Amino acid sequence: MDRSLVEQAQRGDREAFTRLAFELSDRLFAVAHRVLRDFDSAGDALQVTLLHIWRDLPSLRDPGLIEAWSHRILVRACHDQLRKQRRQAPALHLLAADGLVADPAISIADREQLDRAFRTLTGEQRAAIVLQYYRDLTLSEIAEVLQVPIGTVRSRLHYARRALRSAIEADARPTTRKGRTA
Amino acid sequence: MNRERDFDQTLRHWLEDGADQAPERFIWAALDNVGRTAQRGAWQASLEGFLMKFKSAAPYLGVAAVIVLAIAAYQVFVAPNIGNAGPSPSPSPTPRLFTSADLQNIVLTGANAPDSLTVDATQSGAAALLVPLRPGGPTIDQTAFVDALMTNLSTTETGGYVSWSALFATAGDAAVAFAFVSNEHGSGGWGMSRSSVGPGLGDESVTYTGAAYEIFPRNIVHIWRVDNLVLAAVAVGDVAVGDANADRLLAIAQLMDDRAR
Repeated sequence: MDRSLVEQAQRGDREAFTRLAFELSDRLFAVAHRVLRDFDSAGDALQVTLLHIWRDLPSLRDPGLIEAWSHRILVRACHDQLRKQRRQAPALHLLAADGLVADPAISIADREQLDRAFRTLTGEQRAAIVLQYYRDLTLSEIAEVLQVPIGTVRSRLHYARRALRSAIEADARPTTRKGRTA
Repeated sequence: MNRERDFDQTLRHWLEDGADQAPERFIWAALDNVGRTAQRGAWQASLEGFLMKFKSAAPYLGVAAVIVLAIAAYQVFVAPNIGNAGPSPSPSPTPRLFTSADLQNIVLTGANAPDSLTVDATQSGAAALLVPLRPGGPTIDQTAFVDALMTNLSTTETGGYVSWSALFATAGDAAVAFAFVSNEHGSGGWGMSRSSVGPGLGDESVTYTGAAYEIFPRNIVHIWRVDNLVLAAVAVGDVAVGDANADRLLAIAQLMDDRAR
């Protein structure tokens, strides 16, 4: 990330901020889409995030930390979007994982189970999973983004992994209840 | 172990499914809002952030605040008079150049602030230089800018203090910056009222009072210059009602000024 671009935007240069927004947006949107599993909600989270970044940019102490800082704002925006999603839960449950392209390396059953299990996770757990497995951040980097101790990140990852894993393993087990699909 | 690895692999593959590019319509919609939104000054942002934390902790801090205030009153008004051996030595007539390392000793930081003041936030470099300036206002010339340091002190719901200093290459450069920062607080900028009597600090100094920084209605700002340093001490809030008061602010400013001599 071009440090001088961040500094120009910090001084209120809207043209510099436009360039900065385009540089950041793909990565932010990709994370939001994976956390929220919904295209429009991810778009809303991105818009809120960009506006917050602009408004609070003068308070960013080290322009070199723009990536971590903007992801922190994004995670908060995703959290708000999740709350909205939960209020509208009946409608959203009718939607497929909007805009997601299926990876042939995973079976359809696994994908569905993962989707279902992922939606039961809290926003914090989802963010930790996406930052570790999609963005490949280290535990300390995730802790920095989420502003929580490393131990808390470990714990969130542990519970999230356990939930996701048991979803897949349950799917692999033979049918035990009438009407349940394997 | 293989199952663990397989699961991690499955998770990675699954997370690869999804959009990698942000649709431009979302970005342009956000930028459209940006065009109608002013940036928040760093003082405002850091104070608001602190106040949010303060609000949640307020029930527990009530008793502590009373104790801190009592100690503060003692430190600022009583302690400086104990063992005062007389007037301080005259400043050296030879102009000298401060360095970045001096900022740490002049600005009130966690390492050197009196016990009566707590340091809530610290900012340095160009970001600190821009803190007192209006977002979207005229740009300060940074050609001769070297470094800056700022701290938020003893912030409460009713006010707080700021200790700030910016370092420039020469005393002449600092004089230009002093005029700029001063003007930005006056009628050409935040619109604060300039006091007819300055604080009498450093080589040149001014005091402004009034609303600024889009936070509290009543603020006092002392801005002064010592050689190649521009300094400011600020009280924000309901001055003389909350914790931030004029006498305490002047004590902070004088402490910084003494350290710069």
